[in-house]
Amino acid sequence: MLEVKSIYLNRNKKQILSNFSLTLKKKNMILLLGDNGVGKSSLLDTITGLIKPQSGEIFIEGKPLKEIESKKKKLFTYIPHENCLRDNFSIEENIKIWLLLNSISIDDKDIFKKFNIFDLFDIKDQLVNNLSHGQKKKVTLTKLLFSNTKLWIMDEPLNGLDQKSVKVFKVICEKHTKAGGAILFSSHIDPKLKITKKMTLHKINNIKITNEFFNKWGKL
Amino acid sequence: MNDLGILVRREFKILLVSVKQVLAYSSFFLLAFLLFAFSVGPNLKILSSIYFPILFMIILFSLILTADNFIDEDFKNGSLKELQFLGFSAEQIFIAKSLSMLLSIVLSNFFLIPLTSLFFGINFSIILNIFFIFLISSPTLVLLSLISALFSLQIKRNKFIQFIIVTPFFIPIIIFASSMNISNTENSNNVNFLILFGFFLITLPLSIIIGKLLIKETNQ
Amino acid sequence: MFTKFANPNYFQKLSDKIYYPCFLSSIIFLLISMYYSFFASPPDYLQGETVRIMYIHVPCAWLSLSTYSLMAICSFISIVFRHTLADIVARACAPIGACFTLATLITGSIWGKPTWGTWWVWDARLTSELVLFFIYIGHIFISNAYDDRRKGDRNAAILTLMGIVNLPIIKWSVDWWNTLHQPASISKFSSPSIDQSMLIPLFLMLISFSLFFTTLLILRIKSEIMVRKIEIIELNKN
Repeated sequence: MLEVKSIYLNRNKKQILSNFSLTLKKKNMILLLGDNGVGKSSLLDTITGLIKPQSGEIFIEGKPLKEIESKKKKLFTYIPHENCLRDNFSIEENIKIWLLLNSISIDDKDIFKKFNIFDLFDIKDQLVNNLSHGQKKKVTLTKLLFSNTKLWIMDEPLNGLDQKSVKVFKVICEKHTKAGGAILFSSHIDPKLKITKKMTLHKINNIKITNEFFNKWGKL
Repeated sequence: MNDLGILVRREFKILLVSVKQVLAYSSFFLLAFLLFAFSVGPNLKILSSIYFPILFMIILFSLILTADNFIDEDFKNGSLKELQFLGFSAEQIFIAKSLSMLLSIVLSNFFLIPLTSLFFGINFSIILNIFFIFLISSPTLVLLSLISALFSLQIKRNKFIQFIIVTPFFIPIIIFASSMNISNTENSNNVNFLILFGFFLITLPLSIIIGKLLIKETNQ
Repeated sequence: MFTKFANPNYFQKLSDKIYYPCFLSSIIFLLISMYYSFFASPPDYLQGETVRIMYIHVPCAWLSLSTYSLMAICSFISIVFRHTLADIVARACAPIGACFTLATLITGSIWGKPTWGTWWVWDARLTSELVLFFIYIGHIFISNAYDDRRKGDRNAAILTLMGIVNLPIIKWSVDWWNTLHQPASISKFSSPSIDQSMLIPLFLMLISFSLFFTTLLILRIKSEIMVRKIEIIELNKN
C-alpha cells in the first residue's frame, strides 16, 4: 500500500535519511523509533509530500506521489505532530471544518457518537484555547475516526495521552488493521501493540558530507 | 474548482468568528484619522484637500499590519501544513486567503470611508469617486500585503521588514491612484483606471507564483 | 559554457587568477578615464563644466541596472536549479548594487541642481531608480533576517524576481513619458547622439567601473564562501 524507495533527505545541510526504504502492506503496522531529532517527523513529512527529498520515490497504492497530488485526502490520513486546531473555535466546530475539508458529510448524531469514544462529548462546546495538551491531542486523534481511508500515518500519536486514551487508541488501531487498513506511526513510547515491524532511525554521521563539501569548495 | 470553494468556505467561517480583528482594524483606522485631524487643525479647506492622501496611507498601513492575522495563526497551529497534505495546492490556499482578506477589507472600508469623510467635510460625489478608486486598487494591495506577510512568517524578531519589502511595490499604485483623484477629466480618469487595472493583471499571476513558492518554503 | 562556471573549484581558481589583473587594470583604466574626462574632453555647449558629472553618473546608472540583471539571473538559477553558487553571487551583488544606485541618485541630484534648478523631481526615471534602491535594501534585509542561511537565500531570490518588473520601467521610462530627464543617447540600433570626444571618456569610465565591480564582487564571493565553510564546520562539530 505504501512503498518508500531509497530516500535521501538533507535538512540544514545535514543528511538525515540515507537510502531509506520502507514497504507497508495491508493489515500491517510499522512503528518508527529513534532518538529526538533523528528525523522521524521529517520522514513522515516527506512521505506525505510536504518536503521533496533529494532523491528517491514514494508510491501510495502503486501510484507515485506526484500523480496523486490532489487526491491525497482520499488515499491517506496524516496526523502530524502539531495539532491543527484553531484556538477560537470549539471542538465541534473544528471537527466540522475537518469534515468540510475532506468533503465528508455526516449527521450530527453520528458525529456525537464518535466524540464519545475519546470522552469528548461533554466538552464538545469548549474552545480549544481552554483545553489541556492531552485533550487537544485527543481531538486531533478523533479526526482519524471520521476518515474512510485505508492508510493512516501518524507522528507521535501517544504524546500526552492518559492511560485510558492509550487503551482506546490501541483498540482503534487493531480494529483498523483487521478491517484491511495499514498504519505507519512514530513514537518513543512502546504502545504494546501487535506491530508487524519496528524500524529504528539512526543519526547519520555527517563526516562524509562535510568532506564532500570541502572537496567541492576547497578547504578553509 | 470545488477545492477552492471548500477553502473559501473555511476562510469565511473563520472570518465570521473573528469580529475582534475587524474591530481592531476599524479602531486603528478611526484613531489615526482623528490624530491627523488634530495635528492639521480646524481649517476644513486644508483638511478636505489632504483627505485622499491620508486615507490611502492609513489603508496601506492597516493592510500591512493586519495581513499577519490572516496567515500567522494558520502557520503556528499547523493548519497551513494540514491544508497542503490534504491535497489543496498552494495556489488555491493563497487565492482563498486573499479573497477573504479582500472581502473583509472592502466591507469594513465600505462603512469607514463615509464615516471619516464626515470629519473632513467631503462631498458625497467625491466620496463615490474615492471609493471607486479604492475598489480598483484594493485587489493589488491585498495581494502584495499578503505576500509581505508570507515573507515575514518565519522571522521572529524584526517583523517591520514587511514594510521595507512591500513599499517599492506599493509606490506605483499610490502614484496612479492619487493622479486619478487629482485629475477629474474623463480622459485622464479612463487612462488611470486602465493603468490600475493593468497593475492588477500583472500582479495577479506574479503573486500567485510567488505565494506558492513562499508557502512551500514554510515547510522546510 | 555556463555549466563550466558552475563548478565551484573551477570558479574559485578562475576568480583567483583574474582578481589581481582586474584590480590593477581597473585602477589603470580609472586613471586614464579620469584624465580623459577632466582634461581631454571638451565642456558642453549648454552646461559648461558641469557636464563632467555625466562621466560618473551614467556608468553608475548602467552598473546599477546590470547588477540587478545579474542578481535576477542568479535568483532564477537559484530557484530552478538550487545551485549554491548562484545564491552566493546574488548575496554578494546586493550591497554593491545598492551602493551604485545610491551613487547614481546622489550624482544625479548634484548634476540636476545647476542644470534643472532642482535637487530632486518626481519624474518616472528618478522615482523608479529610487524604487530600485529600496528593492536592493529589501534584498539585503531579507537575506539576513532568517536564522537559517538557506531560507534567507531563497526568500531573497523570490524578492529579486518580484522586482524584475521595475527594470524595464527604468530603462524605457524616458521613452514612454514626457519627463525632465533626458532621453537615451546610446542605443544598440542607431548611431549615438553624443559627440565622439565625449563618448570615449564615457566608455573608458564604464570599463573601469565594470572592472572595479568585478574586483569587489570576487572579494565578496570569496568572503561569502569562507562564511559558509565555517558554518558547515560548526554544524557538524559533533
